Amino acid sequence: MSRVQPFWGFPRPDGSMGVRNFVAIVATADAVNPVARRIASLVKGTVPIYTSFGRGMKGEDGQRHVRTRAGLAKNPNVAAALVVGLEPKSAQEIADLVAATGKPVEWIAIETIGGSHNATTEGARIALQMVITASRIRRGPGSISDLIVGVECGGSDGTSGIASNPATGQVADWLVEAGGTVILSERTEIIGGEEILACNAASEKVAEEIRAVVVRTQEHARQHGIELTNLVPDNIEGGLSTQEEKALGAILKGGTTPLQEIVGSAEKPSKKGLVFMDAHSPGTENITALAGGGAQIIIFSTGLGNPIACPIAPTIKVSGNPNTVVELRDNIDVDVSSIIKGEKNIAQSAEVLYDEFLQVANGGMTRSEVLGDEEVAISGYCHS
Amino acid sequence: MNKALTLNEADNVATAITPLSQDEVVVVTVGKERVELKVRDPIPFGHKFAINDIADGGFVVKYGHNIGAATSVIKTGQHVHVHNLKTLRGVDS
Repeated sequence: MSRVQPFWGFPRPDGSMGVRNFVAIVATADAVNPVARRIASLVKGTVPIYTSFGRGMKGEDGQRHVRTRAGLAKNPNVAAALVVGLEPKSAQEIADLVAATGKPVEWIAIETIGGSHNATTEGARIALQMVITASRIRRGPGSISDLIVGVECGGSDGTSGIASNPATGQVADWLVEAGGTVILSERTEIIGGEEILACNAASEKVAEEIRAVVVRTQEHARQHGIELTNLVPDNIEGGLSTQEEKALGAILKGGTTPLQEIVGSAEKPSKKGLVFMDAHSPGTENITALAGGGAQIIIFSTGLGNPIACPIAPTIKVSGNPNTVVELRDNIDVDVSSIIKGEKNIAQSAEVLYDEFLQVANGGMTRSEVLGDEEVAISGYCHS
Repeated sequence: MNKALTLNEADNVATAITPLSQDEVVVVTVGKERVELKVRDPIPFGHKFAINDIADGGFVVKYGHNIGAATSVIKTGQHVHVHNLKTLRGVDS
């Protein structure tokens, strides 16, 4: 079968295509989170983007916060954005970054607009008009090459490396073959597997960079008195014998195509194909970074089950654990337990996942979208 | 139904997808071939067993990649785990 299936998306001024058509209400720092949430609660069609911290952050930490908040608003799934700041400077900084995409963006600042009530009223008026305008945008023909897809795993168990991760990896290969971009991430998950990624790199430069990601991550941990290894006692009990084996199980979800590029947390890939994002590993932080880097959809492979999703990027939960797909049926979008039960092979199960992916790309809702199990988190400095 | 999986035709180990008893006969699909063999040890769910004889010091291959080296001779059907497989990274896990 041809893997190039019709994809209809929302066209954006910068030529990108959204799979959703949100109006984002972006808080610049935690001090204004309540106002951003209040505005979003008043205006249907808006999504509040808020998280802890953001105020007075310095260096790499501060840059990552600004880049991620702006990146979520720049994501093609966002039609327009309202930035809510405490003061004009930080609000304008993020608004300017978003404006570079050509999409409508405005900002308000609580200190200069006359407090919370005025900010809420004025913000809600701006957001209302943004939603009215955005709702007139129609889906148009696009292709898989318009899509950046993040692959993630969380709540991993013995089934992840033999069912949901390889099925995700097969879909990743099909997406790359069709001209799309797939982002593999979670820096601590690749410890022990970096040589395999390096061998699979498109150039020696990329190979060196992926090795450097692991060296940097372990070195940073050592400075804090932590020896990072990916293999823990319950992994060994579950049958994993070496760091290479565990990392390979995780890396599988990126598929087998050459690694084209390494990008930083919430940085947009400049290349098509398989890309690695050097970002924090825990689920919520990582999916935030992936969407901040432009991923319109996330495929989230889970063994034991993890409900969390990104509010900006529809997050498809896939599990191969026969127990999880029953017990957590409210959360799991795609059941690939037929691999474990011996009823289907990986490619056959991957087709089910790919079909669901296309449904979601064309507007079909994920379970986490319906449940509202969505969260944003931006990490502090530690390389976890 | 399959009781064990290989993920790449280059693999010399298979992963049990159900607990296997000692001397149980299993059929493993390796690429396009179907291999019948008897497991020599009890194999818990998620654990590996050899589908070929592996020399002492030989690579153990899963997912089509070396996941470590054998620390003793491993016979077809034997359990492959931390007792006879060591990382190639030079750091003990």
